[in-house]
Amino acid sequence: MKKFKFNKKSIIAALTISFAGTLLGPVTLLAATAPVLGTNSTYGVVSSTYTGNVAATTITGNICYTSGPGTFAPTIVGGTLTTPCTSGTNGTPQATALTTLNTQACTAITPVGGALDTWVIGSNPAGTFPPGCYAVTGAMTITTGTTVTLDATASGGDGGNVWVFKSTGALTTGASTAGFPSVVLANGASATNVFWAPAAAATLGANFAVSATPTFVGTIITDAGITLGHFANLLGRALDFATTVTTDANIITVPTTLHVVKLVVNTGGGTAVAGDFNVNVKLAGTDVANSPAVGVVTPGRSYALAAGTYVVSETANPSYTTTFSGACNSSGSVTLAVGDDAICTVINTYNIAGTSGGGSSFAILPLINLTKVPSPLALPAGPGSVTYTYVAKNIGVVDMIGAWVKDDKCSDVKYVSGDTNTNNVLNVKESWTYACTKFVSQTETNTATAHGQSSGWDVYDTANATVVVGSALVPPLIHLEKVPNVFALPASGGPVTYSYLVTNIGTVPMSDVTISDDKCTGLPTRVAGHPGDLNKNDLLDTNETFQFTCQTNLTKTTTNTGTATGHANGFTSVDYSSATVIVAAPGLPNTGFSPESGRNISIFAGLFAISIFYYIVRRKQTV
Amino acid sequence: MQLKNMSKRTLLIAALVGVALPAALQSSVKERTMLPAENIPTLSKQEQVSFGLPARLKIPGISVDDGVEQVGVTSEGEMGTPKGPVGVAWFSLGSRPGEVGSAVISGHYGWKNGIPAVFDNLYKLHPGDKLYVEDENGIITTFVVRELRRYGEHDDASNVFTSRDGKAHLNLVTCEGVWNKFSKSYSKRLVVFADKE
Repeated sequence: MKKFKFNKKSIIAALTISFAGTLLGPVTLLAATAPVLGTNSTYGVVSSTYTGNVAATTITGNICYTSGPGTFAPTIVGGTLTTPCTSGTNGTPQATALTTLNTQACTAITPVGGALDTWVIGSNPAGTFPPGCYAVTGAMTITTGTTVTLDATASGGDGGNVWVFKSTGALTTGASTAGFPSVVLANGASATNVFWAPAAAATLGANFAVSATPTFVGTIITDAGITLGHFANLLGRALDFATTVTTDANIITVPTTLHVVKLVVNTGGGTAVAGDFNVNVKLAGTDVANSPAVGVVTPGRSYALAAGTYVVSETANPSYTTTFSGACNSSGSVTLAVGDDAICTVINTYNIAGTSGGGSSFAILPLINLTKVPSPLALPAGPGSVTYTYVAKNIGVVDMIGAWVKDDKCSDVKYVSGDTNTNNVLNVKESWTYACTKFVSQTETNTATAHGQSSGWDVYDTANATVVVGSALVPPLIHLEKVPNVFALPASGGPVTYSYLVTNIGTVPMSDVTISDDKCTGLPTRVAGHPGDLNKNDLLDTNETFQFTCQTNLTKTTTNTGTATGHANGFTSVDYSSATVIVAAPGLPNTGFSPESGRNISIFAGLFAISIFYYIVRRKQTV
Repeated sequence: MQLKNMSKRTLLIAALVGVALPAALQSSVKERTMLPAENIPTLSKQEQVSFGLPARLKIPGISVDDGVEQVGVTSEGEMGTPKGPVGVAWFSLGSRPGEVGSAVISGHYGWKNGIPAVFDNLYKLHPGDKLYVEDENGIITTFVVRELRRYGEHDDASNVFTSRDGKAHLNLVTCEGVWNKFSKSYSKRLVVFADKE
């Protein structure tokens, strides 16, 4: 009979397996909400006491301390040193962020223990975490020689792209060989959206040699002290306004993020979707990491970058015109400063009449607008039922047939009301209401699309909405309606004035409202002092409407897209509205001359010559 | 005798005024539009990265090598035409030659006093013939004739000025058909459709 022998290794392995944390089966993870860092977003280090040991630490970003710097002052790149830290700039924003982190509901990974690298969530490998908020009772650790992977596409994710790890104890990572990371990002995860909030001290393990790549990722926020081991490389921030940040020949880089959002406008019959386009982000002509990649609709794809000027481009689809909106200029160029968290929207507009043709006809395109409102916007107690209400409105000047509304994450959208004359036609100024109810188990952003048709032209409008699960923080919801004053112009073109109505259809006031148009200049980048701000608080409240106009001269058929953004509770809401103005084709030119015109002139000239001849002869005869 | 001498001189003047001058004009036009074979530009080596305003149209097959004017829309809602018999006119409210879309260039068919015009022989083009447009930066774009099509003078010309295939086209337009002395227009329009090579 064969006997099993147990040695030390097998015992350790068995223990490891038995103690590994596991959240199997259909996992419901609670959503993570990113805290608003405010003015601390540009700081690599905030501390009461800063200590630099062994050799200088290189900090890309700002640093502040009240006491310091110990033996070695930091080398600062792209930032400044402020001493002391101030309550207004550093203390209060940190306290606000900590409150956000500490009050949100998280998925508990107790009682097994806080060795994150051993945890298995759903079908993911051990140590791979989908986006979400995780809470550890006691200390959370990452074992020496292991790596925790934050994977935006890992199964069971909350639908967002934020990771929060908090513990009632310390945060400790093991020492490692050079460059071996404790934490890595995967599949679009962004260092900007990773947060660590230990109640006790945070200690990052030492490395045997300096590492060119990060060994730890995310923003550490605590009031209990942060120590970076020798040569640790942090892509994030060390924020400890109350006590000490200790460094030791480290590299600390404040994450700078570019979110690239893809929007496809299919008015006129296009069928492409965001994923059909390959998008590049380049620095000095060279693709950055994870570029190129297929396009992603709101909230887009995130790139962790260094400060600098980048160019967003894409593999052109000849049936679509590419324009840029948001932080990118008209050429797709965007300049990022340390700590920036910028959004660049790449808009593809279907070429209704060729990219720059003179126009197809005087047929007027219809214009549809969609609003989408979830109720509720937040499920603080966890997963629950949400009803989405959609309103498709004919804001053009021609009636539409074939109206429908679809939602990418709510399959049972049903017509409710609005066709008052029951003619099955979405008449001018009519608004049709639709609804869909679903069980939302994790924070998600879904996109609804409204469609209408007239004279063979298909038009669409989209609307996004986010529902937060596991947090009382309510996301904002902005709406944009854009209408041109004319829908068709003669062949010579002419001026067009676009009107924009920006409204708050959510429940929380929005700050930093912006409005832009990819083909009409003059709109305010950031709205301030608008007469529609009734209470003069520089916020877009739910009872307020910001109205704008923009005039441009069109010489060819043009589809342009307006973009409105607003912010609240750490979320950003974006809405788009497109409109097409047709410029008619001219008549064919009249390039001919009469075939007789030359002969007539010749005859005339001949008669003239004969007359002169006759006159001269007569004169001579007379003489 | 003096009378005979005078009559010869007068006849010579008459000939000059009535016949020789138009002929001389015609001759000068012919000489200008003839393009020696060795003057055909080298085309393939020039990479196109952007498209400036069109400057010259070259069609070796029918000896066209002429400057490009810019025109818009007339008060009748028609595309404009070049000022004289030897120039061509690009519709500046549309695509530039080489850009995605349909660029359109017009030229005259016939001129006063029997003077030949730039597109007199446009009908002689065949599918496969090449057209060249040189822009203001010296960049040359090549187009290949796809088809010739006839339109009525008031036909809808949407597909001449627009395209939906996402490609670059160059369409040449001139008159053809029967002259209507009342409308002062030919009955047809000849359009040569060409695609960027």
